[in-house]
Amino acid sequence: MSKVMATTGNTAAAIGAALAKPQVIAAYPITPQSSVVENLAGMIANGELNSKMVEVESEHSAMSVVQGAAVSGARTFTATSAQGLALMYEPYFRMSTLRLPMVMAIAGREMTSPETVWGSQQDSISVRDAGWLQMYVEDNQEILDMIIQGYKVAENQKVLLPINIIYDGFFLSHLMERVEVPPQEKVDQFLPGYNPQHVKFNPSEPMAVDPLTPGDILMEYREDHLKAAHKALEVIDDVDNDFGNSFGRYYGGAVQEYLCDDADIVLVTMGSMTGTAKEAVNIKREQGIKAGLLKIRAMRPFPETKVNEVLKGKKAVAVVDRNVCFGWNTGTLFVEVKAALNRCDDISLVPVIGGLGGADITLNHFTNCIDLLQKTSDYKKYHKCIWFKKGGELHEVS
Amino acid sequence: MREIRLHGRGGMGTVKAGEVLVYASVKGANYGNSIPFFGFERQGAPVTSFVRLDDKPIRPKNQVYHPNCLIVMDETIQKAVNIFEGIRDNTIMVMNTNKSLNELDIPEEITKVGILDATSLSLEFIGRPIPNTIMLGAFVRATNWVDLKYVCERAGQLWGEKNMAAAEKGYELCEVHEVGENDGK
Amino acid sequence: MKYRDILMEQEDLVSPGISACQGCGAELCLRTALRVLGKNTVVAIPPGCLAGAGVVGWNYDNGLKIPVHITLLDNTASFLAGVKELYDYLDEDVQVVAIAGDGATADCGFQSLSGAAERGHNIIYICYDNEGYMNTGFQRSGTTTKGSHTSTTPVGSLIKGKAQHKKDMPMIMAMHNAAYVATLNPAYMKDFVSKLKKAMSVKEGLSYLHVCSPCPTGWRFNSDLSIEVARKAVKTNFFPLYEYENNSFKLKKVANPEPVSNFLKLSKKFKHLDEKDIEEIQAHVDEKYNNLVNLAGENIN
Repeated sequence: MSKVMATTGNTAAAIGAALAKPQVIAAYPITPQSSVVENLAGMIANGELNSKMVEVESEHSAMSVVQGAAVSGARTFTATSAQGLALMYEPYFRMSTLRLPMVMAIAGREMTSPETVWGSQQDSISVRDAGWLQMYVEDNQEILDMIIQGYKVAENQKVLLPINIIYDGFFLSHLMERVEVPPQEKVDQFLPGYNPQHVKFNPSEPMAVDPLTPGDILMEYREDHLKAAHKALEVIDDVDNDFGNSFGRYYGGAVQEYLCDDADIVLVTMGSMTGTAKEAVNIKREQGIKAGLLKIRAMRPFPETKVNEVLKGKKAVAVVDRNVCFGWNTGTLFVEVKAALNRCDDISLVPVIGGLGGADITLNHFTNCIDLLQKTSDYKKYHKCIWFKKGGELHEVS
Repeated sequence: MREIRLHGRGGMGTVKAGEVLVYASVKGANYGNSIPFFGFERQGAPVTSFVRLDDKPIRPKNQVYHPNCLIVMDETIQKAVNIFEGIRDNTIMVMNTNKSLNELDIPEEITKVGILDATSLSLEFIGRPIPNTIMLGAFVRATNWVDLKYVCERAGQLWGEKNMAAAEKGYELCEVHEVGENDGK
Repeated sequence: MKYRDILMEQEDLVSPGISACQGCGAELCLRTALRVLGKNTVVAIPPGCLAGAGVVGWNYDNGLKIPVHITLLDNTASFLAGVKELYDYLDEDVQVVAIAGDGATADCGFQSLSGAAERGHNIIYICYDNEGYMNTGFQRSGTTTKGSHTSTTPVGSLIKGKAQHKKDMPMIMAMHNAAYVATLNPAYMKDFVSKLKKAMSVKEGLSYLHVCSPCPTGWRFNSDLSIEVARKAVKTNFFPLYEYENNSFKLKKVANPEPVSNFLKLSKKFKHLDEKDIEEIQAHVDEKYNNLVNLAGENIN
C-alpha cells in the first residue's frame, strides 16, 4: 500500500532518492535545496537508509565524490541549486561524458547577480548543453516519481547518461502538498539494482578509465553520446508507461499535452507554472476560446518531433520561460521550440519571460497571455517579447 | 477551492501553521498545498503564508491573491501590511486580538469573524508567546474546513503535548461572530 | 623484506613505453611507490607531468598495469573519497591512492584535499612536488621556492623570480590532523619505502606523503643530477625528512647541515639570486627547520 503524506518538494526528492537505494550520496547544502540533504542525513542517522553519505566541503567535491563512486560501479545521488551547480560544472560535464548514469535533483534557483536566493530555471537551463538528460516537473508527486524513473532511464543500457530532475526552488521545494509514497517492494520490482559493465575501477579487472584520447576517437565518443541522448527520448516514454502500469500515474513521457487536439492557441510551459496555466486554459475554454497547453518535460534531449506534431497547424503559441536566453531577447525554451518548428512559418510564435528570481507567475498572466495570442494569431510574425509583470500585467518589449 | 492567507511575524510559526493545515486536510483524505511568501526570515518581520484546501487535486503552486479566509496571527501587522487585499466576498477572518468585535475595523467582504487573545493564551498554556497552535484551533472553530483531531495530532508531533492542548483550547475559546450580509454562498 | 629486495623483486606496475623526461623525479617516485603498493590498488592521477607522460593511458591503452583514472586537476581527493566509500560499502579492501603534482595538491586541488583530510577518508595521497606546473612550461605554483625563475615569474630588470615563499603543504596537512603525514625523498629510498609501508598500514584516516621531486627540465640541471639535487635538498635542511602521526612529529636530523646555497646552485632556476636573496632563503629554511625541531621535541634521530 502507498503511504499518503503531506510533504515539501525537497522531502519528496529525498524520499524518492532513498527509495532508489543509492549506495553513495554526497551533497553540500544550498538554499533552496538544503532540506534534501538534511532529510537524507536524517534517514541514514536513523538507520532507515543504508547509504554512505559524504558531507562534502563544496558542490565541486559533491559531484567528484559521486563520480568516484560511480566509476567504481555505484548508484549515486546528489542535489543542488544555482551557485552550487555553477561550482560543480567541471565534474558535472565530465559525469555525462564519462557516461556515468546517476540522478541529481536540482531545486531551481536564480543565478546571481543581482544577489538572490529565490526560484528560477536559469541555473539548470544554463547547463543544458553539458550532456545530461534534463527533466522538469510540475508538482511534488512528480518529483518523487521522476527521481525513481530517472534511475531507470539513466541506467538503461541504450542510454547510460546522468539525469537531472528539476523542480522550481521554493514554488515546489518549499511547497507542502499531498504525495503518495509507493512501498519499497514495488519500487524494487520496478527498479532493479545497477550493475554497470562499461566501466570498472577495480584491481580485479585493471582498466585505464578515460585515457588521453585523440580527436578522431573523441568524435566517436561524442557521436555515441548524441545517439544515446536521442535514444533516451524513447526510453523516457517507455519508462513513463511502465511506471504508469506499476503505480497508476502516467506523465506523458517527454511532453504532456493538455487539451491540445482542437486548440488554436497553445501555451508552452515547463515546471511549476504549468498548473496555473492549465487553470487559465480552463477559464478561457469556458469563454469559448480554443486554448491548450503543452508541458515540456524533457528539455534534454529536446523532443523536437513531438513538439512539432503537437504545435503544427496551431494559430498562435506562447512559450513561457522562467529564464532568459542572453543574446536572444527571449527565454531559452522559446529558442528550442522555434528551432523545432523551423518549417512552421504560419504559427504566430510569442516569447514570454516571467517568474525570475522568485517572482510569481499568476493566473492573470496566463489569461492575459491567451487574450494576446488571440489578437496576434492574425499576423504571422510577432517580433516582441512579453514580460510577465507584477499584478498579472503583460509588458511588450521590442 | 478554499484559499487561505496567513499573516504573522517571524517567530510566530506562521509558515508551519500553514503546513499543519495541509497535513490535516491530507489526513482527512482531501488535498491541500501551502507555500510561504519568499523573503528574508527575520524575527519579528511580517511573514505571509498561503494555503489552498480542496477535495480534489490542486493545480496552482503559486501565491494566493484572492483568499476567502484570513488567519491573522498578530492584529498589529495591519500597520505594515494590507491584510484585506484581494479578499473575496464572504471571507472568514480568524484574528489574534485582545480587542472586542466592536473595536475592530472590518471590511464588508468579511462575513464571519473568529477572535481570541491567542498571545495571552499561548503564554498561559505553552509558556511562550507563540500563538500558532491556538490560532489553528480557532481556525477550525470558525471554518470547520479541516478536522481538529488532525490539527492536534500534527501540533503534538511537531511541538509536543502542550501545543496539542493549545490547539484544543483555541478551538474551545474562539468567539465566532457572523457579521454583515451573508448571502449564503 | 628489505627495501632493496622490494625494489628489485616486486613487479614494476608501470607499462613499458611511457615517456617522462630523462631524470624525472616523479617517474621514479611513481615506479617505486607502485612496487611497494602492489596490485590491490587503484590510482588517480590528475593532469600533470605523469598524466602527460602517458601513465594514465593513451588511445585505448593503459599506462599502468593496475586501474588508473586521470581525475580533474582539482578533484583528486574527493574523487577517491567516493571510490573508497563504495569499497567500504561493499566491504572490499582496496588501496585507494592519489599520485598528484603540487599544483593539483597545493593550488586548485587544495580544497578537495583539505575536505577529504578533514573527513578522514582512508586514502593515500602522494604529492610529487616539483615546484610548479612543469608539464605545461614551468609556470609557478604555490610550492615554488622564493626567487625561482619560472615562465610566469620571469627574471626581469624590476622583478627577479617568484616573490613569495613556498607553501608548506606537509605542515598544513599535519595541522589537518591527517592520520599520517611524511616527507619523502628519492635519494633516501629506505626511508621512502618504510614511510610508504607505514601509510599502507593506516586503516583509518588519510595519509599524506609529500615527495621532493627535482625536475631537470624545469629547474634546469643535467638529468644525471636528479638524485644529487634531491639529496642536497635534505643535506641543507631545505627539505627535512619528518613524520607526523598521533599528534606528534618525528624528525630525522642531518649531521652538519650544509648551507642552502649548495642546493640552490645546482639548478639554473636560482642562478640569478644574489647573496642577499640567498641569505633570505637561508633564514626561511632555518626558521622552518627550527620550528620542526621544536615540534619534534625528543623525537629527533
